[in-house]
Amino acid sequence: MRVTTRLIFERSLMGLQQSWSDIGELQAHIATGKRIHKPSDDPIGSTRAMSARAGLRASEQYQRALDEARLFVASSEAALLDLNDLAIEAQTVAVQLADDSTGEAGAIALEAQLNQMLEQIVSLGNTEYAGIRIFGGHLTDQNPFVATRDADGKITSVAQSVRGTEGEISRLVGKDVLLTINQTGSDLFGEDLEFVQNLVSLRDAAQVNDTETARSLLTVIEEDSDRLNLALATTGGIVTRMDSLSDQLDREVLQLTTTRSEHEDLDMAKATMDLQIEQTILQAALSATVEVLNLSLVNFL
Amino acid sequence: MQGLSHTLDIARRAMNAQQAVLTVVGHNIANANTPGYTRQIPHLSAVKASSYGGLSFGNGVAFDSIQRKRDAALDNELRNETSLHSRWATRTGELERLEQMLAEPSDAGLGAAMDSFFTAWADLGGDPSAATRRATVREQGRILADRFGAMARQVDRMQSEIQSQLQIEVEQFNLTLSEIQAITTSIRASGMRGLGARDLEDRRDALLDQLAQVAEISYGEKESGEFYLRVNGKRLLDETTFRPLELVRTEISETESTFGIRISTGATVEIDKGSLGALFELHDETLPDFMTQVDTLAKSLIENINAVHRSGPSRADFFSGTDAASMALSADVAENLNAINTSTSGLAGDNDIALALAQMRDAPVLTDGTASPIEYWNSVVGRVGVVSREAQIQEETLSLTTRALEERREQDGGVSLDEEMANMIQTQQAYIAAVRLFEVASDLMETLTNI
Repeated sequence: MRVTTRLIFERSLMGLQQSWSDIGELQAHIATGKRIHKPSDDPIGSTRAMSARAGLRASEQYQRALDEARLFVASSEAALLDLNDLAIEAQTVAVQLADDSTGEAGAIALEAQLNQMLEQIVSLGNTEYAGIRIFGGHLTDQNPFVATRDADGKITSVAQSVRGTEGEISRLVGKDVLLTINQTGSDLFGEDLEFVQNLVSLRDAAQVNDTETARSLLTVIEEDSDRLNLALATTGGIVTRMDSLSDQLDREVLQLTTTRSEHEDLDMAKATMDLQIEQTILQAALSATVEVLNLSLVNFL
Repeated sequence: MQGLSHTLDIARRAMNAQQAVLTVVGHNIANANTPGYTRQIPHLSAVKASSYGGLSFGNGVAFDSIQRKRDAALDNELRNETSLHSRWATRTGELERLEQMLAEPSDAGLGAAMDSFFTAWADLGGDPSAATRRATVREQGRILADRFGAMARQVDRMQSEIQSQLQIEVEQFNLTLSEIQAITTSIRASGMRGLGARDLEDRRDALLDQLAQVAEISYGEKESGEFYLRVNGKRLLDETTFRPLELVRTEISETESTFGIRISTGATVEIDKGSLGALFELHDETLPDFMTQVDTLAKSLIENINAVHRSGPSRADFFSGTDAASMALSADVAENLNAINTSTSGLAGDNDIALALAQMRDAPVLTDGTASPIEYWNSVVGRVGVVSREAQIQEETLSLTTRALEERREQDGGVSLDEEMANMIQTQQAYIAAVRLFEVASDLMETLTNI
């Protein structure tokens, strides 16, 4: 083969440039720790990495929504626990009132107790968390339960606010997962606030020591208590669901992080090794170039 | 028997011939680094013998010709490959710019902006009455619209840069073409044997190489020796014709236009290869296709988000505009935070609209109801990646092919200094020998005359 002067120079230079370009690319990869800098570096890998990134950002938001919802549910759980205690107390009071042996004096004491309980129930029904009435349905900025009082300040009846207490409060806690986190007024006290009305009736019965009425209220108050118990159980269920969703999210995040890393991140050990090899090649090429370029017949004439 | 003068004559011819060879060697050495120079080879031959007394005697050497070491078929192949390579190289460069503009995969691209926007809605759903979350939704909406707008502007800028590049390339092509015309005329005038014509041919070959970079060319010589040049079957140049390329712009719409090439006869010239071919494809197909996809995404987001958002009490649109370039916050939302609807009921704790909009992240509203906005965007980016990768691979392959051909041309026609050195010494020795011959012959002549 005929080899010309220019060919020798060009080939030497080409080899050096190739080496430099390889080293430059490796250096850029090592400096950023990424093997994908633009989609064409690996079209399929980069699409997967992008999906994983989007998934991670979404998961972050779901996790945040769960954390926020947890506080909301914790306050309703606490209020429901108190309400359940009150329902049990109301049952005890009703049993006492239904008992003929309680007597007039006992009934008066129980009436006072019932008045206090009614106050507590209304206040628990209007529980706030961060300025939000948690049992008010969609109407979170007003007290959902309004008490009417007589001249002595005793509660005579309790009504729902004009807009009612309906409406589910949901949070987006996963892809297509809407989690309802609230219990409405009717979930707690019945469609027509039976629980509160029954307690008012019981209080009125205590006032006149009406054992007959008290006896008739026993079973309905038990039903009211069951309703509250169900609400508490439902809330407990929500907590369990949130725990499981949160675990699931953690697993997803781990998986997505792995996917993203697999496609995007550089195998540092391999890259460092490759760089070493490239350096050796370049050094060899440089010294070979110097040797070859100096060879010429001209030097011997 | 030949006379002594005959021997003297042979020596003289030899000296002349070797000196001429040395000139060619010198020319080769001098042009060892000249781009496009083809090595020249001196051809010597024995002068026709003359007969004397029934014997035939040689008449020494004659300097016949200087040959240019060039393989026309190889040149042709190389130029075809050059046109192809140049097409893919240009395409690769422009597509890499487009990729850089996308800034994906990263947390700074359009994908992340969409994510942040949907996340802002989800956060607002978590606390529908919080003014700060409302403000975040508006801010993220603004950022998203800006990102779309910036993309439209950047593609626009790329288009206008390609346009001016097209103009420059066409001008350059025409300039080179007119230079080729001038050189061809000179070559015809100087005849085919002069040393000058060979260097002119070298120059023309270099110019043809340049033209091949810009567009696919075919050329050759007719039987009469007349040089011609065509692009895709349309004759641009021969002895009587000179038709430069004209860049023609065709308006499709107010914002879109395509480009083509026409020559003075009015005929359209299709150019697929060379840098022009690549630029036409980018300007007329690749970039508009990309922009159509971005516009589809923007339009779908605007329409779908507005449709949900309008169901709230303010009845206001969230975004205004119809495509990426015109996308912006609606005037209502831009002016008044409370125009942002979080629910259809408008109650403080209701968040159905906010959650519906947050869920649009995964809603299959694009590609006939199969792709969510984020999936759609990922596939747009993926497609750019694939197209760009394809161009890179083609460019790499073709650059190897053209390099191999260039090396073959260089192997054949390049100057080897060592070879020229060897030739030089060889010529020098032949010259010295010829001088010795002259000396001996003249000594003999002198002896003879002194008798």
